[in-house]
Amino acid sequence: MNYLFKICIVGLTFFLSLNAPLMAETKPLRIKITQGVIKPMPIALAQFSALGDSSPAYVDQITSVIMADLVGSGLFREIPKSAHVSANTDFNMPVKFADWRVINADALITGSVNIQGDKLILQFRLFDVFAQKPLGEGLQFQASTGNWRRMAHKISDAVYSRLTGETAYFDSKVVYISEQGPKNARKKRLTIMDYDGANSRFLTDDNDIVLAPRFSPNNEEIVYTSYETGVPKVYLMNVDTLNKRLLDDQPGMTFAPRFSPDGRNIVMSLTNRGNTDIYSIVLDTGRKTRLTSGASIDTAPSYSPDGRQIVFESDRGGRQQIYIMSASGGNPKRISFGKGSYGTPVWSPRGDMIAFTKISQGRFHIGVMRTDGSNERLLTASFLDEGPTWSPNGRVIMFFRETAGTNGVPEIFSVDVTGRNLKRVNTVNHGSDPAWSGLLK
Amino acid sequence: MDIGVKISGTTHAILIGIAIFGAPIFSSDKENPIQISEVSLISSEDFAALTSSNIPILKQPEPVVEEPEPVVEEPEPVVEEPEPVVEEPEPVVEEPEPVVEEPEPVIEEPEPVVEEPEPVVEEIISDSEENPIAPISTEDNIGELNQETNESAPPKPAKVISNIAVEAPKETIKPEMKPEPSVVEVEKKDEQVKELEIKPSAAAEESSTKIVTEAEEQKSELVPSSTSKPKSRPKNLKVIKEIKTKPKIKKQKESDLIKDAIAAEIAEKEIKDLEEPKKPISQPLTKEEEQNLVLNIRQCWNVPVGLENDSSNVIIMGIKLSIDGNLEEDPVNLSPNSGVGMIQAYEAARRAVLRCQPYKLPADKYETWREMEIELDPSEMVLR
Repeated sequence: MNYLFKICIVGLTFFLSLNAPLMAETKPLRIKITQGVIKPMPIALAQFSALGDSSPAYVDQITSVIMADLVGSGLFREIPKSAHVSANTDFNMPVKFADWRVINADALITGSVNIQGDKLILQFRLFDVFAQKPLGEGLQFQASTGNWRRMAHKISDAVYSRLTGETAYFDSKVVYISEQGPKNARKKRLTIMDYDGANSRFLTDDNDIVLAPRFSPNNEEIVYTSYETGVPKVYLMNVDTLNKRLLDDQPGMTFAPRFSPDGRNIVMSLTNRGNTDIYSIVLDTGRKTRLTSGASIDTAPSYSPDGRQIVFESDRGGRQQIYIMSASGGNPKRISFGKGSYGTPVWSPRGDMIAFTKISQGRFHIGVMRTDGSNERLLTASFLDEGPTWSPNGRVIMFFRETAGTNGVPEIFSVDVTGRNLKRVNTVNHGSDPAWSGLLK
Repeated sequence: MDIGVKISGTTHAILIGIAIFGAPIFSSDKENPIQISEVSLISSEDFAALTSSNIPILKQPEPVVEEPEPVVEEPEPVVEEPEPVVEEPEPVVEEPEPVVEEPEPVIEEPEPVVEEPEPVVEEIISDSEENPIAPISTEDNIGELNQETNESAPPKPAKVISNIAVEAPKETIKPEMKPEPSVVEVEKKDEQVKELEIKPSAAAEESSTKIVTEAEEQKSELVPSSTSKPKSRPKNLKVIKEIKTKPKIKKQKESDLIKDAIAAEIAEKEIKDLEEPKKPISQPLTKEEEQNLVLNIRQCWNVPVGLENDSSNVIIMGIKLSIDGNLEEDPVNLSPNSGVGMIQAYEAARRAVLRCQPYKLPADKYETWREMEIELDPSEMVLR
């Protein structure tokens, strides 16, 4: 008994000693948040320090391009310089986070501009103000002074990527059709510009009607349709040398061309004897392959990013609808089933969505849907919206909108894939048929 | 033949020229017009050092510092203005006073100019923050540094002896300083120490009980193993059991040891309880209080575009709050996921938690909300 009693006492004390801390440990309070806000992130761009031969005006130009990029994306809101409490007089000066926190800046960009002769050196750093930490390493860009806009775009790209986790699109080009003159005698010219409308350059004269230009994957060539010979034909042009060549000299009309993702093939429509089908052409050999058949009009083909599939429009079902088929042709599958007509489908560079033009109840829309046709969302609505093209990161769509009436003119617009941030893009003249390049190297 | 030689000469010259200067046709400038490289962040200390070494850079912040000075100067004339108003009733006597006051601000103006370099010096010397008395005697500091670097343990007692300054007081006492008894005691002790140091072995043990106590105490603990303390240790039970002699006495000892063990554990617990601040029993937050907290964080949480309606970017953050509702330390990321966009999702969540502080929560329930886990789940967010 005595022995048992001892065991009990020892056991009891052991149990108590073990159990006490377990009883004391309690799980911390857990709060679950399932709703937040989606609003532009407040961002401050500190005055860049001017070094070398750089003038304050030059610095202002660079910083204004950066801020225009970021604010123009619709994801950021600028905190004006008039609200800034402190200034970074030196690029390496430690940041006084309290001064930026008090003006409610989530992120801060600091930088310097250094011009040495014809050489421009741009440096920048990005900070999380509330965490009081730098976001990644700072970057330095060095090039000739003539590339200052591109360098500014590259800073914007880096900031955008770091804050959103996505690739950016600011250092990119857009090729479009510049239009001038009355509606019944309009002069059309192939034009290239920065994504924001700057640095416009005509690639063709206004003698011939040109349509639907598209960039090659390496952004060095453009394929487009021209009425140079009287009938629409597809041409290939080098952007720098402006050398061009006819892609297919066989009889019939060719139009709506587009490069394959690897740049080796071009897919386009060919009309012969009243029937329009989709063909692919190998650029090296010129070998042509027919991908669709039948009496319907099959046009506006666009490759998937992996190059395995092609989305196109066809009226084989009685009305214009969107279909997907293999890149080698055959087995087209309809994916659009809404009311109205669908056309000009373009596969997103992300591969997850397809942008299209929809005509419904007398109005034109730019919309997006998943590649299986589900989750259709219309982003715009107007008298005439047409010709969507994706930004390199698949977050923005550019298109052209024509106003009604005899004096109606086309203008290029962009809209976020969510339908927000609809805005007009600056062009030298009126513009239509935009095509966005990939991100420049 | 002449034509052939000319053609050959020109082509060779062209080829040599291309080899030396390079062919613009084959140059790769077009491919990489913009060179990109990383810019590392420098610390504030490095920046201070950089700016202190470059005089022109130091000149830049000066005008910024000087800006507040005219602001300080402005109120001074304002203060002076009412004084002449007071001077009218009492004309002659008070007039010199403002005259005396005027030079004071003139003296104050250069003062900030003198103060300006001081912080620069402090920043440079800030590495030696451990020695606040350092400016008084720099030589001592140097001596300490040398001792620490050259010898580790021995110098410390030597330092103590040297600080007592055995020889110095004797000189001071000899003339007149007899009345201070404490000094005399110290001297006597020092003399004893000196005497003991002369005797090698026995004296060293006595002196070592005071100076080198820890080592000898450890030795003494090891030698007398059967003192009162080991009785309470359960290990001794086994030892006693193994001996198995005089069972009656052993039983008594066992019971005593068990009681001792229990008593010791209880005592230890009590001591621990006394040492640790007792956590008051805190009531849980009411639903309304929790809801207010949720609404508060919701307004601070700006969900990055592209992460909405995405279940793969759920962020769980552990936070510790002080009684005033501010974060005691940086939030900890407890999220198990590590997918694309998680960095941005975490940073947005961190901004939300940081931005929302201080949290207004009932102080009497501090123990409830002192540590929290905040789960931010954008999967249910829908655009539009």
